[in-house]
This record gives sequence, C-alpha cells and structure tokens, in this order.
Amino acid sequence: MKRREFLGTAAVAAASVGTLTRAFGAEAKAPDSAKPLDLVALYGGEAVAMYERGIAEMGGIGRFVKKGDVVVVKPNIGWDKTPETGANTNPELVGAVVADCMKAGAKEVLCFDHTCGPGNDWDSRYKMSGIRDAVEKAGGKMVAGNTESMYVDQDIPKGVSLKHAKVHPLTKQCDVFINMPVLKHHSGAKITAALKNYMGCIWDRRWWHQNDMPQCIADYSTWQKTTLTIVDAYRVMLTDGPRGGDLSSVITAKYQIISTDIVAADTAAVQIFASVAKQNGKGEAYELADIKYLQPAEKLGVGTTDLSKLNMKRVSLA
Amino acid sequence: MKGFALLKGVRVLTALAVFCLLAFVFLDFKEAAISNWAAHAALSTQFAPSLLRLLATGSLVMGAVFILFTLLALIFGRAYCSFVCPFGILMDVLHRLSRLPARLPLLKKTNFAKGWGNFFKKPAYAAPKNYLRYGVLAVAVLLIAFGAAGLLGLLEPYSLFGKTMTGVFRPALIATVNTLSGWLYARDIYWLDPVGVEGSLVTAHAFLFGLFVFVGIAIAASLRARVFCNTLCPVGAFLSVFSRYSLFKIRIDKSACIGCKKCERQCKAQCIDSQNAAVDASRCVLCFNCVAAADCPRDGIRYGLKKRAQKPVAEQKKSRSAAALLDRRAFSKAGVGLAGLACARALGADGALPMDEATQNVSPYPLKGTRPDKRLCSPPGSLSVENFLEHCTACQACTSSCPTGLLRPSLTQWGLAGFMQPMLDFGRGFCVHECVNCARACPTGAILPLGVEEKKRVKIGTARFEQKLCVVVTDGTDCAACAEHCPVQAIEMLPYKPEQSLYIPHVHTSVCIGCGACEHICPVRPHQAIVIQGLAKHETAQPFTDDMRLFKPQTAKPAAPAQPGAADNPFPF
Repeated sequence: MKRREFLGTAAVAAASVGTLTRAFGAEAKAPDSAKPLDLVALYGGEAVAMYERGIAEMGGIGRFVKKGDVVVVKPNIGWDKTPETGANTNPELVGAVVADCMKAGAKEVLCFDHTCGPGNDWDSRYKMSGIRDAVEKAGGKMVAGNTESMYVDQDIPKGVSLKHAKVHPLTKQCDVFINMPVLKHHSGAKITAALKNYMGCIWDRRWWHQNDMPQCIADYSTWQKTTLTIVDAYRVMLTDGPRGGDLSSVITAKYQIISTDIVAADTAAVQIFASVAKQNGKGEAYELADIKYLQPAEKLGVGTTDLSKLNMKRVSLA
Repeated sequence: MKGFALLKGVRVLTALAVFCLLAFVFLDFKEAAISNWAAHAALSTQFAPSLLRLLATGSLVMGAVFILFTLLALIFGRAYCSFVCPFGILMDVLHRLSRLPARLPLLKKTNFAKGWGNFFKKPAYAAPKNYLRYGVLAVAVLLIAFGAAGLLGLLEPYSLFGKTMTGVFRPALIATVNTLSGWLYARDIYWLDPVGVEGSLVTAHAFLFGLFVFVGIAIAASLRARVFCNTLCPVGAFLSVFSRYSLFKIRIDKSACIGCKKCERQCKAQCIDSQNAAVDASRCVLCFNCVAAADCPRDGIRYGLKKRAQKPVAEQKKSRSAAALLDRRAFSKAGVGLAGLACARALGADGALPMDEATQNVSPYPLKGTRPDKRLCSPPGSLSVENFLEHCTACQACTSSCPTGLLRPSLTQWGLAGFMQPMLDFGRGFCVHECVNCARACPTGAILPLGVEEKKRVKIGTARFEQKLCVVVTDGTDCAACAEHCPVQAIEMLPYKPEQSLYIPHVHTSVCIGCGACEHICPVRPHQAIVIQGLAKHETAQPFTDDMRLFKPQTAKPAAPAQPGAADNPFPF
C-alpha cells in the first residue's frame, strides 16, 4: 500500500472511530499506524502511566532494548532538590523506565549524571532527587560522574565550536542510550530539556559556558548516540531555573514526550513550556528562536524542528 | 595487681575507642562521621578546644570538659593524657610498634632483635625539663590572651593529631580508594564509588606539615615514648600544675623498694625515679602500666591515696632541686593566673567584637593574585572573621567534614599567625546550601552550632559582579552559570540585548549569602566576573520575594498569538 493511499484509509478509519478515540484538532495530523512512531506526546496522566501508554504506542520498550543489551539512562540529577521542586527528573518515571528495560532483558541498566555538586557533594544529589533509590529498587545501578579521571577524551568531528570533549565512559559503553531530561526554565539556555541535558555527560562545562554554550550543546549532540528521548514535563519549573526558587512557579502540567528524534522532542517541549507559561502567567513564553541550540542542532542534522515531518501521535489520558 | 590491671584495661579500651572515633572524624571521606553521635561525642572530649569554646561563648557548660579534666587532675592525675588525648594515644601506638620487631617470634633470638632492642631501649627515668615545659605553657597562655589560637594549634596535641591525620592519612586513603575505584570502573565494575575531589587532594603545605608532625612524633615516641607530653605539650604542662597535688597518685613504698627498676622501665613518661623510690606525679600521664604490670617483686608500687606511714617520701620532697621548688611556687600561681585570664576573656566574649561604625563591614583579608574587591570569608556560624581566627586551632575537623573541599588549610592568607587555619577557597568548591557540617564539627567555638534553616540566611559575604569581564559582554553569548547555581535567587538575569535574547546577571546584594557558587562556576579567567567579598562580621540575608524582580517577563513581552491547536487538543502543536 502506498503511503498516500494508506493515509486516506486511515482518515476514514479515524473518522469511523472518532467518537471513541476523541480525534484532535484539524492541524493535528493523524499518525501513520503502519510505520513505527517517531514521537508520542502525552498529557493528563501520572508520569508513570503516561510512560506506560506512550512506550506502548511507540511499539514497546522491546523496539529499542534487546536481550543482553547494556542500557544507559541519563536523567537530570543536577541539584540537591527533592522531587516536588521539579529540578531533577521525576524519580518514579526513571524507576519505571529502568524496570521496563530490565524486563525487556537488558543485561544491566546504568544511570549517571555529572551533577552540579562540587567536590564530593555529588552523592547528595543522587540521594535527594530520589533517583538513586528508584533506580536501585528497579534493578539498575547508579554510577558516579564526578571524578575527572574517569572521563575520556573524545573528538567531536562535526562540532563547530566544540571539537573535543572529555566524556563520561558510559556515553560510549552501551548498546542503548536513553536521555531522560526534565523540562524546566534555565537562566542560561532559557529552557533545558533533552539537548541541554547532555551537559551532564561531559566534564568541563565551564569551557562550554565560555565558548558559545548553545553551539556547544548542538555540537555535542552530533556525536552522542541517542536511542530514545523521554522528556519529563510532569512538573514544569517556569522561573528561576535550573535550580529553582519558589515552589509556586513549579506547575504540575502533566506532559510527557517520548521520541526517537531529540531535536523534535525539544521542539515539542519548548512549545509546551511556552503554553504552560502563558496559561499560568508566569515565566517567559519563549519562542523557538529564543532557544539558541535548536537551530544549530537541526542544521548539523541531529534532528528536525518541524514536527509535521514526524510520524507523531498525541495522547490525552485526561 | 589485679585491680590495677583492670584500671589499665579501662584506660586502654577508652583510649582505643576515642582514638578510633577521632580518626574516623578526620579520615571519613563520606563526611558522615560528623553526624555520628559517638564520633561527635569523641570530638567534644578534647581539652584545649573546650577551653577555647568556653572563651568563645562565655558559657561554663561549653567549657565543661576543660573544667572536668582540670578537676580530675587535682583528684586522680592527668587522666586526659592517657584516656582521651588522641596525640598521646598515637604516641602509645607508635611506641608499641617500635618495639614490635624485637618481639616477633621469628626474630626473637637473633642478633637483629638484640640490636633493635638495644637501640630502642626501655624507658628510664629522666629529669624534668621544667623551664621548657612551663615556658611553653606561658607561651600558650600568651597566645590565647592575644587571640592567636592558630599558633596554639601548632603546639596543642589534639590539633596536631588533626593536622597529621588530614594532611597525610586522609589524602592517602582517598588516593587508595580512587585508584581502586578507577581500576574497577575501567573494567565496568561499579562497586566502589570514587571520592569526588576538585583540584589536588591536599595542599603541599598541609601535607608537609602533617608529615613533619607525624615523622617527628614517630621518632620521639619510638625513642622516648611520651617525651612530648612533658616538654612541648602545653596541655600536659597545664595539667601537671594540678596533678602535682592530686589526691590519688602512683606511690612507691620506700621500705619495700629494692631499686630493681622494673617499674621505671614500664614508665612511658619517664617519671619514676626508682633510685630514690619517687614518682613525679606532675609528669605521670596515668597510664597505669607500672602498677598493672605486677612485676614488682616486693609489691611496693601502687596507685591510691596517701598512706600515713610515708614520711620518707615527704622528706624526699625537700631534697628536690631548686628548679622544682621554683616551679612549684611560680606555676601554681600561673595556674591561678590562667584561670583568672580564662574568666576575664569569657566575660568579655560578648562584647569582644568591636566594630568601628565608620568602617565598612568588609573582611580585611584580600587574596593575592585575585580581584582586589575579593575578600576572604569566615565560615557560616563563626559570627565574624575575628571570632573565627581568635578561636580556631586549625584542628581540621571542619576541613575534613566539608563535602566540597571548599574549606582548606591556609598558608599565609590569614597572615602568618593564621597558618593552617581554614579558609574558604571558592576555586575548590562552594558552600553547600543544605550543609552545616563545619558548624557541627568545630570543637573550639570558632564556628558555633547552626541549624540548617538558620544557616541558609547567614550572610558571610556579597557577590560582586564586574560587567565588563562577563562573557555575555565580551563574547556576546549566553552563559548565566552564576544565576544557575545561586541557591537563594540573588542573581537575576536582566535583558542585555533583548533582540538577541541575551541576558546579563544582576546581583540582589541583600539576598546574597556569599556561598560562592557563582564565583566557583564563573568560566571567566584569569579573574572571575563575579567574586565574593567576605564580610568582617556576618549579617542576615533577606529572603528573595517576587516583588524584588526587576524584570517581569510576561508583561515585558507582547502577548503571544493564540494556540494553534483546537480547543480539545491539549497540546500546543
């Protein structure tokens, strides 16, 4: 069946079950059910429920994780903050993903972040975020990321500003790499989600800050293998990010994005951020152009900011 | 004798417990020891820190340990020296170790053992060095009087112990752990987490000084056991003034003594003069080795109250040297004088921080090679730079409990008299918002206890931002690393070039607590664009409130167009 023909059939099918599935607005294109999805956007459920539904839509975790694979999960564990502050990735969600990978037969699931804790304070962040507990309970293993000696030199051949980086060994030593950022405001990058989360994979962040940080973020993503991106937007910190201030600007927005395209995931995330900001009258409703690492990443061929090019599905659990 | 063997047993067990707990405090690279009640209790048993805490707070409760051991010295003798002084216990351990080779079963009957035994002789009586030890005591009293606790810490045994543990053994331990961890990590085995260290494991001067102390005391202890305690130790000299008159003493029954020297050879303090059947109670460290050994053939040595039929000993006293007589009078007076001084300082402690109203509240300590407006801070809980420097003996309990390595022993940054007193080096780390380890650790009152919530508002310094150095200005690129790390929202990003979506930091100085996160993370070199200017006297910072915001984005930006999706589409795309 040709693609165009199929689309027609799908449209008829969608129309026929329209009352059941609650079809979305006119601009929202129906997904191509014959092809695996590139992106699932979810709304309205608890973080774990949204993941379970979303990954099922994507074809199950088995689509990405094969038996005996070494899986690396990279959440944002930057800050010594508790889960309700939305400063780190939701620990329950991280736990659910780790457990899912183990169930799919992964040899081991490893989890790390180069946290923002200086010296030997990194461990407090693993603990306070609740992620260490969640990962270990789900059968995964936490790996440290705060000793320079463990980082290895890596060329970034496609990099424009960033040509070399000292990267965490787990960025390479894995079969599957799952990027699990949390969506929040960021004083430097405006918004942090998937691409910006990779600053926790490398050693010398100061250098990036000094040498056109948005370009460095895009550069790094040309090299980093990404199997899957899961953006946790259950709680969205609208102001004073990335560390966060008053809890009143942390909104329980209940969104999640699961995608094989990291740039698309960020594009969707930025739009969700802007819409939540507008609805709540807090923070800044950024436009795509404000997020200066998106265009360079697209230009370097990492992914697309044009969501219409994707086979995308929107799911509301509300 | 059985009873005395029991006393010695209690002494050994207490000493080992205190020693292990204190070693735990200084070596624990997980910084958990400081939250352990037993380790914390061991920290508070120390004599000189207790005196300084008394002076810092003016509270007798804070000085309870100082008062207790002084009274104990008057009743039982120098209990502190053998039961809880970690440096003394270290000497005991080293002394025993130095005897070990000659005792090994394999070597026992060889010439090597004989030679070794001849070199490391058993202790023998030595004359007291009164001018030396009381001279040191006088110096110590002057140092306290002039608020030079840092220099006192170069003589005082607990602080010397801390310096050698953190200078040599702690980095050695961490290096071992990290080597092992790195080896395992390289083989994809993630059992042992490495210890995060920014920069070098230990500063050169801290290592060299720690090594100097350790090697020095190892030699001294091997050759002459507790020689330090009766020559250079100011605590030993102070307690000796009291133990000289203690009710309970080691006593030799002169009528029984045959001068066999068996007890003398047991005496680590070299204070048993078996020739004259006399024990110098001022130098006795109360280890009970002599009475516990039970090898006196005539059962003529015991520990206890004075017996009536002991006139010969009383006569013996008269034949003492002129020096001993002199120090008896002079130094009992010195003891009273010191006590008086202690009280005077304790009373004055409340008003001991004169602040010249005319001068600005800025720390007078710049840091060579950095921006001139950068000034050294004292840690939260220390109230002021002056209070900190006056009461800190540089024992390093705080530096070894600091999770970021921010607190480091200084070289001359606090001046020569501040050698080894900790300073906040934002190049190494920043003060973790939720952490009060140093305040919990400090036994001397240089850093006073502080609750976590209270600490979050203690202002030890102010961030000073130099716009022309900032990468936003010099490179025209985004950064905001400082605002990102600020735990109290003292740094707000204001529009700099709105058309390029470029923002620049602004410091709300009344909100800033001076934790140094911004300076630590600022990528600009050689001088950071944002540095901490320490306060001379700590203040209380204001919490950030929404009305302080200078930039209110939703009003500043034109309203965005309506959402593209239909009403039933919860997604904006």
